[in-house]
Amino acid sequence: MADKKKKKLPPEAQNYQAFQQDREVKRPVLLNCLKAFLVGGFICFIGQLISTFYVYYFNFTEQTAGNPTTATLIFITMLLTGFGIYDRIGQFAGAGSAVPVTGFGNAVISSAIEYKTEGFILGVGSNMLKLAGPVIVYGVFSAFVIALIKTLLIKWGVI
Amino acid sequence: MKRWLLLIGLLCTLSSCGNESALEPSKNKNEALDLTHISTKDQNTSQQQANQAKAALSNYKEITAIKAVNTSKQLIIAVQVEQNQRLKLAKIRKQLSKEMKEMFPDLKVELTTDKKIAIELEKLEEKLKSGSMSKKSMEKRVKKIVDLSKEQT
Repeated sequence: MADKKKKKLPPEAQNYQAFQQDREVKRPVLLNCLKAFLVGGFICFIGQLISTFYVYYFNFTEQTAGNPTTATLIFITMLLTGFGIYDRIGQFAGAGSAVPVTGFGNAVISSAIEYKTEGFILGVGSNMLKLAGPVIVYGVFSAFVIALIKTLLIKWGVI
Repeated sequence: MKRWLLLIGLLCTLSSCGNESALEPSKNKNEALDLTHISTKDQNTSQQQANQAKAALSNYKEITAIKAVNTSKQLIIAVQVEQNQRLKLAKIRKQLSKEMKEMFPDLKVELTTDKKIAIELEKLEEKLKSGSMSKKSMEKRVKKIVDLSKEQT
């Protein structure tokens, strides 16, 4: 598709594209991956610590400790977002800070803070899930599709 | 490049889907195993079946700790598995659970790999060993632990 678009462009534009592609600074993909891996892994490590804490000191099993752990992580993210620290982490780590549940919390909380000036109902209430809403919609939808596939495969006796 | 990475990822995923049994019992006993055989003076709180289960499970060298307590109707076992074997945790649990159910057909057997249950059972074992527990309160505790192990959300 990109090629088709290119052919329609005038020759100067094509020349320019080749020119800028030569000089464009390459993204350090591997380094970014490494940073994301380390920071994301560290967030999960903190999550594991919290989960173990709940298993040892409260009446939660490994199965049920997941919910309070998520809540605690989101609470910590709330503080970090409010103090402006999570933005820095996000700038450094990219996907490493966006993929764990803390990234989801950050998306909700930062838009809640941003729209507070427009009032609580029409501002915070209606805009809070602007970024996170699609995550919920497509998360639920893809879970539905995968569950459907799994059910069919089990019915047909494949797995 | 991308295609190779995908292929390698796919192979790694598929290679873990073998159908062989998760654990094989070894001949020699596991030395570094964390378990205690409990002997109680009181016949009512006898832990004979729990001790049998521990002896049977200690043949697997992948298991690092076994905690078990039984009442006259129920037997609850918590096993801890070596860290790198935890990838096959669900399979291991299924296999051991089946084995224990075959070994004790007239008891309700509950086998879990949950750390919390192991902690709770360890506390209960300590109490039973010190002999400060009646049959009734033991049954109550065991029921509570079984309920906890069945909790889902």
